[in-house]
Amino acid sequence: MNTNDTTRPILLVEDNPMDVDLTLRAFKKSKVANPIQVARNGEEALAFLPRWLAGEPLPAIILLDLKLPKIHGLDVLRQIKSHPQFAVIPIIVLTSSQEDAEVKTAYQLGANSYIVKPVNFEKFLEVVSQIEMYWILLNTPPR
Amino acid sequence: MFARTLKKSFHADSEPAKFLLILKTSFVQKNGEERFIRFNNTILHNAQGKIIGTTSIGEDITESKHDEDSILRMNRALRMISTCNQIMVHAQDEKTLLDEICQAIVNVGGYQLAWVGFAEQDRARSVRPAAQAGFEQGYLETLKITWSDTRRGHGPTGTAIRTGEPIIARSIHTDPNFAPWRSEALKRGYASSIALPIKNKEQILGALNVYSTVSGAFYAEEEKLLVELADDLAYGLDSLRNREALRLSEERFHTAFEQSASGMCLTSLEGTLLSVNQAMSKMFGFSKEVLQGKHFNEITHSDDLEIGQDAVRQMMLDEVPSVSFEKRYLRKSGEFFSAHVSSALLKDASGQPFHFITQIEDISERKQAEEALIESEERLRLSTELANVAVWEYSFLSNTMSRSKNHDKLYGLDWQELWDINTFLNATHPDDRGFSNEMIQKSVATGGPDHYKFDFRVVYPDRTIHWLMVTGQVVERNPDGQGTIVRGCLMDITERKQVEQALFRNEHLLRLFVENSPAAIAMFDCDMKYIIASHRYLIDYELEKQEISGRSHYEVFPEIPERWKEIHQRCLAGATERAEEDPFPRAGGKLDWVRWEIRPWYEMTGEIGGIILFSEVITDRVLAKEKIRQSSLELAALLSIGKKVNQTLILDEVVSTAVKEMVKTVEADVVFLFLRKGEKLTLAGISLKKANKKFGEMPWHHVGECICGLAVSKGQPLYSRDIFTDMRCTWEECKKAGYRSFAALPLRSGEEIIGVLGLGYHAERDFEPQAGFLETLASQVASGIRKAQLHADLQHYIEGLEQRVAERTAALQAANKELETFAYTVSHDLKAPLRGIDGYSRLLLEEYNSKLDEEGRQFLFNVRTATGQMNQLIEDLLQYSRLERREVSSGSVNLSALVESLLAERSDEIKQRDIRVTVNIPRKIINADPEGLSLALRNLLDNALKFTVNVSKPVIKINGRESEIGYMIEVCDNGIGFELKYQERIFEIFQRLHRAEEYPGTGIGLAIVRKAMERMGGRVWADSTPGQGATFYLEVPR
Repeated sequence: MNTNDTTRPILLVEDNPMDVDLTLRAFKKSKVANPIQVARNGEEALAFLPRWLAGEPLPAIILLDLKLPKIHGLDVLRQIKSHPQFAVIPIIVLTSSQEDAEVKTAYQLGANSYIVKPVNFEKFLEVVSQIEMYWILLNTPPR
Repeated sequence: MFARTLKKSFHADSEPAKFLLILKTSFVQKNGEERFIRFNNTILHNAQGKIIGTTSIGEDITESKHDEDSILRMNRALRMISTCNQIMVHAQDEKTLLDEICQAIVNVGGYQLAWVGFAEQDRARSVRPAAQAGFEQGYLETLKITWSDTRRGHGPTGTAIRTGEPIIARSIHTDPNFAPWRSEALKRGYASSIALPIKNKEQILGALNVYSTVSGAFYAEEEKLLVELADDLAYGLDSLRNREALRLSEERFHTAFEQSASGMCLTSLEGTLLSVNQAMSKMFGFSKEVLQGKHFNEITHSDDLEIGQDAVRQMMLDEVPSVSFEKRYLRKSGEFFSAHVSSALLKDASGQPFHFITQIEDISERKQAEEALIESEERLRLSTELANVAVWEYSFLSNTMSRSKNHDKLYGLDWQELWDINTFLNATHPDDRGFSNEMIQKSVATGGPDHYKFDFRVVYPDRTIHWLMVTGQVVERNPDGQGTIVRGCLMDITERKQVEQALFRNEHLLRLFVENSPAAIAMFDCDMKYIIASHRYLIDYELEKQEISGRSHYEVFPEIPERWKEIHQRCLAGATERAEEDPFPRAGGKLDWVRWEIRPWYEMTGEIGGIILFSEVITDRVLAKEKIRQSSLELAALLSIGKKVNQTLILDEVVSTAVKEMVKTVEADVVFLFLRKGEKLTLAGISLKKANKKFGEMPWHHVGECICGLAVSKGQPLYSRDIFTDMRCTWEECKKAGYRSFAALPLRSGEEIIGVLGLGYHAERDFEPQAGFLETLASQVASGIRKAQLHADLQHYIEGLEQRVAERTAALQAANKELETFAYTVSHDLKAPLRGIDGYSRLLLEEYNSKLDEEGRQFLFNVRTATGQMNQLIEDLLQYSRLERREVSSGSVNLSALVESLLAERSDEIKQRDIRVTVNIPRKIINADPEGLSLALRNLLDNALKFTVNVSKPVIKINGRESEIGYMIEVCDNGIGFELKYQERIFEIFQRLHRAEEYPGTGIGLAIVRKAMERMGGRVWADSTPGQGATFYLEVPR
């Protein structure tokens, strides 16, 4: 039973085209129905805010890489989480870094989850599948 | 006589017989010689027996008669010698000895007369009869013998004395040398005489004269015996005189020793007190008996022991004959006192030292001793005033004399009814009659002196000789100028004469005593002329090469100040004065210091005869004291400067204090202080005595320039008495400012010269006596400056250090930041492509599987394996760098639980490979960094798992136990192990002992273990034998 709205998009903030491609493929393999929006850097990610204000549907989750050109992922995280309306959007940090400091900062800024991107593709698929399972299917986001 | 004897024998022997009569007789020949004849008379009978005549044969038997007599005389002579020897042994005084000897010669020796005459050392060289015995009848009084080379001196006695040979007059009757006395001698029956010289080692004392009634006596044997007797007599006299002199001297010494106000003692060479006087006993508070036998060290202040020992050593080494010094002694009461000590070494006749004589003067009691001395001198004078004096007046007109009652008594006579010139002459000693009369007659004669005065001898009826002193004055003269009335007085001076004689005898001794006294002593008469001075005095005042006796003190020392002359006058008037420290500016310009004491000395009469000066040149001591005073002032100044320049660490303040204080301390008119910077000397401070005085342009010098610069380049102080003539002083400003003398004192710090102090004086100055002080002052200033400089350097250094620390910290922070960025970059930028490679090779395998052959699939598989290894390497590196950067936390670790969880992580592999794992860890919570410890243990466990891969029955043991410093965990396996030489290397990063195909790994695992342990203050080490497994030890501190 899917009580969640699969029509709401998933926002993927990722600058590496290969990672974008592999993530999209992984979603596809996991049969994720939600449309995928991609922001190639921090600036693009923040460019969604006015659109959301203008009435575009809010994403179900945001998958956020941290090391981004122009505006760093943590800044993106901070701006969204400090926004009165958009702070409720679950943000899953999906990054290669497992630096303690970054993990800590991310949670302090309001990240809902922090997941290290595995190098091994099988494991990556598994991670993507579990994210989808948990955040899209199990989790109930605020409306 | 001959005829009568013959006749008598005829009558006596009327018997007709053949008859022999022997007669002996003697007669005196015309020449006076006595001959002995023996007559053999034979009576001639006829046939009828009738006497018809006689024959008489005369034989000269003089020789044999003499032989007989001489045997007889020899016997007597021998008995006489023996008697005389006994007399000599027992005689107690000279007079008795002589008298008894003379008597023995007469009584035992059978001679007619014996007398002893002494050779007087008077002008007339008279021979004074001293003893006599036998038939004399005034003979001696007629003699008037002399031993001078005159006619009256050519008699046997005079000749014997003069030549020292026995002189025999075998026949007084004929001996031409006997002429002056012949008639008197023959009158008394003297026929022959012998005069025997009485001589000791040095001189001829007189002669023993023996007279015989027999002409031609004194043959060889007899003469020999008598010579022997005379020698014995000389020896007897000598020893009596010596004994007497010794007794007097001993008595005098003993009295001087015993009654001396100073402490005196005789000590053995080892320092034991042998004899001490009363004063010393009193001074120390011990009885004499207790003090005698003590060692000097026992009564000496322990700090002063060396002074005495030093003095003894000097004397024993013959460096000095005597010493004087001051030291402290210890009284019985335990109290100390200072004393002035003079000591001399006494030597016996062979020059061997045998005693010390030491005089100790308690300086604190000197005054008291002085008063005691004055008192004793006063007593002496009083006692000499009790002289017996008679007065008289003689009239030449009436040849009578009126006189006081005691007058005649002085001649040893009862009161005489009449006293005229003859009474006088008769009572007078024969030897003195002539000159006495002469003195009187000369005075009475026209134009003679009104006064006369002389000493003469009188012979009392008991033959004792007394000395009188007469003074006379002609009070009236007749018109011709001849004296008619003479008036005068008479005094018995026998005692004085005896004293004078004793004095004369002892004068030599006294002279020796004074001259050899260890103190500087000089004795003057009333005109301040030298009488005697001790050797020490001559040495101390450098008078050894001068003859000073009889010269005036003021002539010898023209530099003597008026003040002293006044003191001399006061002392000549009876005062005793002294000074402990008195300046004596010498003629040569030198200033001597003396300690002196002057007291008058008294004549027999009690009048002051002059003064005695005891003195000691103490210049050295005073100078030493002055030097000490100067030194202590300098020391105080040094301390003060040292203190002041050390009160601050600020260089400018040190410099200004230093120059200011220097001006005060060394009384300089200006003080410069230059500091050195390389070859340049910069004026850092200047201080002027008169602050308002203007000094030219502020100077600076180069090293080697002017005297200050030279002092720096030479590294030694330089002094200039006169900078105007000194070639070294080139800087004109100093001269313009009017400085005359200049000192340049380099400021030294170790080997380095850091600057120079310049001291300028307007007045010319000799720096030499102060040089040491100035240089020490400079070193004080230098050390203050050096300290300030070091302080400044230190401050500068500290500031620099802080700056550097800040810079380094910033650099370190930047490096850290960089490292973090690197780690970040590694995790993102290296992992992202890896993920791409792995992802797409997987997709390739999955979606293009059918288009790939087996080899292609193998390649892709290899690509993915390499990706995995790469990923692991990155992960391990990240972990290693994170260990470096992360903060170590301290927490409680449940060790057994930790090990269990780690084993649980690897349970699949353990189960699969059938590894026997034993854990022996007590349930224990230890204090450690949980994450670090977990990381270390995990890596060790993985290590054990990895290296037991090829072992058939793998075993892993994990044990825990308490250790000395904390807790120890062992991870033990039975894997392949390693050689011990690698036990350090295996913990280094990227170090591998095996190829990756055999045992995969990144070479970082054990480096992570070590890093983790080090970060928590623990350690890791390993032990192994190849093929038999390895044990890794972790130790965690408490």
